[in-house]
Amino acid sequence: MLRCEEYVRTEDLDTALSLGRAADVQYIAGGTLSRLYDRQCRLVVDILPLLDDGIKKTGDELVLGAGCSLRALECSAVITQSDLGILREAVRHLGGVALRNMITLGGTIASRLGSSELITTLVALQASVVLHGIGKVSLDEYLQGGFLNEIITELRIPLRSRHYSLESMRNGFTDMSLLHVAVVRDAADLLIVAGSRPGRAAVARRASRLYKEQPEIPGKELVATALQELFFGSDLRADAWYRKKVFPVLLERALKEVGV
Amino acid sequence: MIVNLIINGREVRMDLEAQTSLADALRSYGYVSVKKGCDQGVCGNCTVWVEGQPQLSCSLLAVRMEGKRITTVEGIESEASLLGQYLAAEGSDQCGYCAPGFVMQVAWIKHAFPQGVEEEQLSELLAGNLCRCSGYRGKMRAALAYVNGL
Amino acid sequence: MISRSHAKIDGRSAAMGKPLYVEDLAPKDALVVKILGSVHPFARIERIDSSKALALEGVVCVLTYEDVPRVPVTFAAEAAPEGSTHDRTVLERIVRYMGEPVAVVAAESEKIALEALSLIEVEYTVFEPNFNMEESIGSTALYESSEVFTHFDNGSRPEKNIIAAKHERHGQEVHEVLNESEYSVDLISSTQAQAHAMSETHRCFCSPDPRGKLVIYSSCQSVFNTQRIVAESLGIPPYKVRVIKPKVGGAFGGKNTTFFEPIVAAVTLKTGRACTLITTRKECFTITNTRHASKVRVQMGLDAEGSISAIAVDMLINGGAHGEHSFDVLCVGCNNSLPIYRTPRALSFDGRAVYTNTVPAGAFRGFGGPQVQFALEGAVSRLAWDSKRDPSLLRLENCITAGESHPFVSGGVVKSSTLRQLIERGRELIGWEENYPARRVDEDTIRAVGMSIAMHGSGIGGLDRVNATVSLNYDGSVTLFVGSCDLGTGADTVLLQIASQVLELDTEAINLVVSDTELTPYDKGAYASSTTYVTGNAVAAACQKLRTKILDQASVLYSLKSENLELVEGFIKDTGSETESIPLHRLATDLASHGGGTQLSVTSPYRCDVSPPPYVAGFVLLEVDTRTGKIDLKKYVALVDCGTVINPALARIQVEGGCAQCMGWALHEDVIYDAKGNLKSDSMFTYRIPTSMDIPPMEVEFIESYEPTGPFGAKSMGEVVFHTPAAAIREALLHATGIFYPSLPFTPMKVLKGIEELHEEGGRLPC
Repeated sequence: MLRCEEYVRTEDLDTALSLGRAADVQYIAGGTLSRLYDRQCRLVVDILPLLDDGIKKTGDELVLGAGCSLRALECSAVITQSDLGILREAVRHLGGVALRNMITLGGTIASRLGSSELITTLVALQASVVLHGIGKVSLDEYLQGGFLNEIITELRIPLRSRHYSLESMRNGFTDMSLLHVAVVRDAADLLIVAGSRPGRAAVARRASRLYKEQPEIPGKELVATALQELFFGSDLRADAWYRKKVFPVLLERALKEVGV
Repeated sequence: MIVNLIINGREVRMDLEAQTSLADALRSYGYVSVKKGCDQGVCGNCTVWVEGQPQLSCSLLAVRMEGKRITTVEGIESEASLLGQYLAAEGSDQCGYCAPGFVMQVAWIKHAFPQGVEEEQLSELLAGNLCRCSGYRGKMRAALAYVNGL
Repeated sequence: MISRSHAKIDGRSAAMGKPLYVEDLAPKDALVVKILGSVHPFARIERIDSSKALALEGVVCVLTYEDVPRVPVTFAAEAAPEGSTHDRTVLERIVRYMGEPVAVVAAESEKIALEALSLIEVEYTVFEPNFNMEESIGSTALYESSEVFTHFDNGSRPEKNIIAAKHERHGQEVHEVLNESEYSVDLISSTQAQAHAMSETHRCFCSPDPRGKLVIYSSCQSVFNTQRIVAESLGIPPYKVRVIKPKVGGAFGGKNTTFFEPIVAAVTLKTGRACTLITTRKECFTITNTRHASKVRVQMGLDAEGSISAIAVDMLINGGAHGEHSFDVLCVGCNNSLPIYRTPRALSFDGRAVYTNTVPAGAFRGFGGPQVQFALEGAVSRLAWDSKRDPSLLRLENCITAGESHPFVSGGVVKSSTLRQLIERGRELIGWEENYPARRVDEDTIRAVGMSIAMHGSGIGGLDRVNATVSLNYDGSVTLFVGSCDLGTGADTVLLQIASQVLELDTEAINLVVSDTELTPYDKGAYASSTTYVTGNAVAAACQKLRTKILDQASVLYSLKSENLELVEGFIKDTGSETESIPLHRLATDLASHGGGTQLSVTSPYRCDVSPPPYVAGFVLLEVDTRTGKIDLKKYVALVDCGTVINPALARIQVEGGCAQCMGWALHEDVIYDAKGNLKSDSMFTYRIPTSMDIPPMEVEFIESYEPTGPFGAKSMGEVVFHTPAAAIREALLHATGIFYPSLPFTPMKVLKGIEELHEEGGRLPC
């Protein structure tokens, strides 16, 4: 659990950011990870009151405030109308309603957890994050590891007509997935993203590109390419062997669902 | 730190350390219905309402709750009593330690779904409330009857 | 009142969050006790310096191995003389598993106590640990012989790391009969440790009463055995200790080991202050206990006519760092498991429990039964598969029936059983004829059925002794005093129903005083599926005697003919005359005051000489994703014979809860260590138990037998309900894939591995 000496709410994000530059300071949004991992710090900076929690359509983008809870996301009529039911699927295994009432979208993304089906799905949807003071950065780029002390204020999902699928394998209903893959296809593009490898969400770039170049290519070849380019490891929940065996099955099922 | 909360409709002033969880704070101020099970946000035993919505009090820093309306089982006594009778009739409360968290979740479901719920839907809405004794089916029978007013 | 679903008496208050549990009742000014755990899985403490911790303001006491007696005890809260190997003290100098308590701090606040822990300096000599039960025998011994004590020869051989052993033989030589048999199998089944993962972690508090007695409130399973162990381990007279069990937030056997009560007693003894020890969830996983991991070899033969000809079981279990319950787990593995089938021509049981440097094993619902019955039923599944017989019919033809004797069954003969009907009815409910053995649903999915049968005991035949006291009060109510421990199952409610039935008195008019060494008569406690059968018998007998006394006294007091008197719904009726019935409260008042000057009270013992087995037949319908290995349970059917069902609603929950616990064990629960002996599955996040979405729809039916030795024909049922799912799932997997999976849990990874190996060997799925 997180042990801290002081807690502070700031007037604005600039103040929060300047405090956050110091060592042994922790931002807190939903706060649920503070219980899951041991950490000692001097100061906790509460940024939740500073974050927008709205979900709205703006032009050809869906804009979600980083402070919106996963439960709000799950129940949002705007999301349903935008044909993004896959987001509901991506969060439905995360504990219960009470936990999803607390976990925020921004906190989820900032955690960069490999087991997050939501992150994987958002990468497949080509979402971007808006970082305070920096601006819009693609989620894929954000996950590469930079921007460590930055604060996410918004998430933007481009709205367009597409087919999508999320396939997951898990031991129990609310257990972390031990492997999952999200596939999104629109008129020209196909994006394959795998998570719980167990590392962070990774795009199968070669396979995705292959489809773009040869839309008629059999799904089997995409599966073989993706399997080859992605790394799968072992952890408490499954061995690399299993992940390598099951990834093609999940991907094949996902491709079938999106009509490849 | 001094924090002012509205617990079950009453203003309560607490003097707390920054790292105290809401569950610990509530228990130490006498709201012993709040139970700590996993202390990690997994089991649902510590479920309370924050502004009418279920949240896990073990994973909330109490100092963040300034001015918030918190509801515990002590604040919904008549609902807890009625649901408790359904649970006792099924024998499904068993050790009872998870019962207060379960009650907060089910009472919320009844508020949130006035038109009633299907069994499958109820099961998923209860997936965050672990129970090691009952195997869930009896709890679900009790909750379904309570929520759907049978 | 019998056979009625009386509402569980404490259900409503629990739902209302009333202060019922240890932590709710602890004194506000109690010291907080925290434990320093070992950082090595096997080491000797060379120096321990707590001076800095003691110097910290707010620290009241620090205890180490130097502060407690060095006499070996066992923490197994079993009736004395315990079968468990005595091998530990309250705080050890030699630590034998990671996290084993090294020192305890009592301080004015949790924060101070935690800080004090970090100030204690410990120097260790580290030894090479042993984590593997198969390699344990003969490798470095965890104990010197002088450190171990047993009340009788339970097979303990500390120099070989053997905690306990048990050997039984009957009939001909096994190998001879196997050679003559038409079919035979020789199979090894492994089962992993399992964590109890009860909602409320282990906890207790101790406070001195005005006379200096140590009053311990503990979330435990046996107040009297806890009292005795605390006294023994601290070298104080037992009458200086009082143990009270308030409501327990789940136990399942895990709280039948007295880990923490001696610690709080020692702190109060030293400081004169009240103190509380609430284990964290992590401590609950790392310090306490688990189900014994096992490796069980079963050899079984089948005659040409389809009769089981020979059964040989060889059971190896991992006792971990200490010997609690291991001997008894072996006994249950033999006596409460093998007599499920009619006595074969050759029968043998060999069991050994070994020490390793892992979290100690202990009692967990089933207690040897799940391990052996998983292996035994697996052998039956495989014999049926190899001989192309329907396993449900093979069981139907070979299972033991009422009136049959068996050399290993308690009392030598089965007096009540509907096991054959359970199998027949279960076949109907699961749709066995339509679904057996398996069929393909689609390209990736096979649907299959499987089943298993199980038995257990009701109490420990020949050993269990309990008492019940029942008194008629001045106000006409009755008070029942019992020392048993309801762990949440509803046992108290069941005992009230039994009293109510005998006395023909509403349960509201019966007070209940339970689980307090100072107020209640001796009861061995809640383990070995006991309360309904064992304590229930004592309650029935005591109430019967009180009833007779009431009528006798009424006859004397009111000059009525006692043979004409009846006790009905709180009234004494004279069937021989037209006179008005006398309310019980009038008799009670008249008796206590001017009329008689007496109060009626009866204590009745119950000697549990036999342990009649309850039975379960479990059936599963499941689907296997043959490309991912994922098992999807579609339906579970459990048929139960627990004799007369005293409370159908509570009995049903026992069945559903027991099955669910086993499903978690069967499919994914696992206790995992890293190479250094650190427990990796040490939280509810890493050790997952099933949720509401993981448990399939269940159909439960009871087919009652009448157990002549039970209260109103009842048997106990708390443990037998755990046994069937693991073996039934394995049988369904065999039907679906043709693969015999040797070990639990059946994770998707393991199932897929089996299928992949089948393909690599050129094999094919059966459908």
